[in-house]
Amino acid sequence: MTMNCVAALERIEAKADGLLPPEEEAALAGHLAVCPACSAEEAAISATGPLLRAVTGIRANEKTPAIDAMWTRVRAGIGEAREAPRRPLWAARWAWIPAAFALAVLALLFYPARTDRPPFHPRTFDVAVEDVESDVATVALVDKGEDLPRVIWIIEDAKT
Amino acid sequence: MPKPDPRGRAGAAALFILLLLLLAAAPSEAADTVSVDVGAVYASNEGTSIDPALATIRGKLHAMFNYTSYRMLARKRRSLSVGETGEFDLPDRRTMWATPLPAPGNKVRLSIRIDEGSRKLLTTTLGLRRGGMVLVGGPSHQAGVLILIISAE
Amino acid sequence: MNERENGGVPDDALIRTTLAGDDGAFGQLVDRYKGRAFAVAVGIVGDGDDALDVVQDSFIKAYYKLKEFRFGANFYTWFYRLLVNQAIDRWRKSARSAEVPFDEKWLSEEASPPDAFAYPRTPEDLVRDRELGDALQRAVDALPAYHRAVIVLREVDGMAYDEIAKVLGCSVGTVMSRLHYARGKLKEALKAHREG
Repeated sequence: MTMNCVAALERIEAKADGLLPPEEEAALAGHLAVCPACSAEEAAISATGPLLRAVTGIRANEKTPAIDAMWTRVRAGIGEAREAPRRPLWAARWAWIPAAFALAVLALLFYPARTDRPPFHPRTFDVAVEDVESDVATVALVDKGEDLPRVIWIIEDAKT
Repeated sequence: MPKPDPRGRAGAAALFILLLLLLAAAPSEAADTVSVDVGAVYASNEGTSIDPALATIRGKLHAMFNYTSYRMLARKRRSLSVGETGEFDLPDRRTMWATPLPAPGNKVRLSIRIDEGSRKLLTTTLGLRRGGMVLVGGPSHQAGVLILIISAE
Repeated sequence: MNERENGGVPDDALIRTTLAGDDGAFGQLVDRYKGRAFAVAVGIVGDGDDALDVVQDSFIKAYYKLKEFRFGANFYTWFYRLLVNQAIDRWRKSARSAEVPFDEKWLSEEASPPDAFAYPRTPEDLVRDRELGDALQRAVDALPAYHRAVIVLREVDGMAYDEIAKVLGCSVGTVMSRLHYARGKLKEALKAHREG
């Protein structure tokens, strides 16, 4: 099977993706051996994948500790509320009685101020500053767009 | 496990209704109370670590500030009625007071004051929505600054 | 990718265990795919820190959506859909935030912008040490979002056309044409770099 440049160019990407049938791959190889232009094209197309992987690899190496700690980050971000495990129907029918007593006890307790809180999940950064004043500092208001929190920045006098 | 019987079912239903009444009477986040959540964060350029408790807003902090390290020093939440003032102790002899003011619908208005000993660092009135967040920062702390993450529900 | 990897527990089993209340099982899924997820994310958003945020946010989203997962489907394809969408959203927000000027009307008259604040990244901030890699990354960054996703999924992650089509919710034909376009652009960038 012989191949011209048009046919070869159509098949170079398929070859890069390993999708060419063997006989077409052989024909392509034969054409590339004698056609510098198509050979250069094939080299350029084939180079992009390894180069892209190399660039990505460099970036990954820079962030290896953070990638390694990804589950710590994810776990911190997951809230405490999730679905309770499914229980067999026979247990569910009768277990609510002692559970109801426990709930009654809890309902009668005063809710204390807690210091352990789930991670932050702000729903909006839409904040209006009606007034702002300081006796000992300069105050700057910083707004960088609706996707970012508004900041009230206290610049203490004689400090940066 | 006891076998079900009609008298048992009636008793269980009565208990359930009692529970509902108890829950209704228990303290809850009514429309005229505001839950104010304050996190005190130490931001600095010492190291590159970020407290896992701040993971969900790490990108926001990174986009807003140039600091490389963020550590949560304290976090407190108070449920406050309109007009009720809640006190939050902050590092370095600072104190924050927050008072919800009357506001319509799902809006929240907070009067906030931060003192450092006898110095009045900041007095401000903010309007935000429930679920909203604002940052107040700048006071020095060790080698960096303090940033307060204030949320209202 | 629902198979055991190196003899590990299948993805489906880990998902079932997670849904039964064992978060540690989800941790195993995170550990299994975090490397590949980061590679795809960094290819799309172009910045390591942004990519870390994207991966974290995607896993968190996946955790909450896990009950929607249809057993028998490929977890990684399902997760990748979340990941790619998060990455593209993140990239779009970064590009927009780079265009939004600092809002000076909020400043009080005496204050000047504190040094503490980060200014938007310019394209120059994204240049790395290796010049060829730089040229390539710039070419990738210049691609439209979904063309970038296709080239990254294909070349970095090694995904097949039909899997990419499932992740992006398009046809295999669209995948092939986007890939062709993206490869052409990258090839031009490499050629320009060599000649330049």
